[in-house]
Amino acid sequence: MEQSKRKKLAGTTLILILLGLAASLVSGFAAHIPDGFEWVAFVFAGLPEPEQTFGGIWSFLGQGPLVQTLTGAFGITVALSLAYVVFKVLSCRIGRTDIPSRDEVSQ
Amino acid sequence: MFAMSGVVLVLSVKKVNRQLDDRLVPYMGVLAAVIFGAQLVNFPVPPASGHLVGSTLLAVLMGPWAAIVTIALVLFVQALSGDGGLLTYGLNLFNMGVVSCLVGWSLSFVIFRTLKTHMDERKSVLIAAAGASYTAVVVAAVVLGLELLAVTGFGYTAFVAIVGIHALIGVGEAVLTCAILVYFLKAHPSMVSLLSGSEMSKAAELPLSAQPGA
Repeated sequence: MEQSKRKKLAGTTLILILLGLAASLVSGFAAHIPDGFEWVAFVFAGLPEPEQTFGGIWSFLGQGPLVQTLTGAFGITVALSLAYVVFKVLSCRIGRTDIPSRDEVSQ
Repeated sequence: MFAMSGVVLVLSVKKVNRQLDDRLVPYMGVLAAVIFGAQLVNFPVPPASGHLVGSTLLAVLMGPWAAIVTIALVLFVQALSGDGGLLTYGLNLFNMGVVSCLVGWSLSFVIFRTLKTHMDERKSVLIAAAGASYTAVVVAAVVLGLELLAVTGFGYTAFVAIVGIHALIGVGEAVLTCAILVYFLKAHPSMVSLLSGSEMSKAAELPLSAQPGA
């Protein structure tokens, strides 16, 4: 598949994820247990929740569906970019070591 | 946990570093975004909540090593957002990355190899991924329960509850894994590492079996 088609498919998928995320968070379809499973397990076992020392870089924005959607969308973009950069760096090394260039093949 | 997860992560990076096709990089980015987005949405499973883990999905698509690297990146971004926490990063990576990816991929590989002699390769992938994703979620829950038993006050009731809830969450995981895999099998089957001739199959090999130029 051509690179442009791959990028188009990647872009379309990203937009669909963002729309799906926004729809489920804003409509309240998602559960209202922001603490995560482990914390709920502590409550279930009758133990005090461990003190949260780091609330995240977005903690100053507070809670709410809109904030969750915005910070989630930003997180998705960061995850995509980070994975793209990391795997690009890793894949480039193949090109430098394992796969011969066109000039090397022609020689 | 940090050390164990760190060692496996370094091994995974080394493995991916030798085998990844750079034409597939945009998909790796999108898959990380898909998993991050899916893990953001918690669905109520009384008395707690659950979300897609996605480890088996990633392992079936990219192979276990690239899947571990992707989960590590996703969990890192989550930890920065305050979801999961920085101090529990090693534990989360071990449960959702190392254990889930390796169990999910190994099991799906065995089921796929068994089924493909009897039916179509694509159907075999879906059945293998469904069974493996369900099992991987439950196994990861057992591991989490065992880890929490080390906390003073955690008893076997909590352990049973954790595993029981994940036995339900696993059903959702299997359904979502299959739904996303159907898309990839239709749109870009060469991204599915289990399929023969896949562009991802090399990245799914075990480190010891990697042969340069093979």
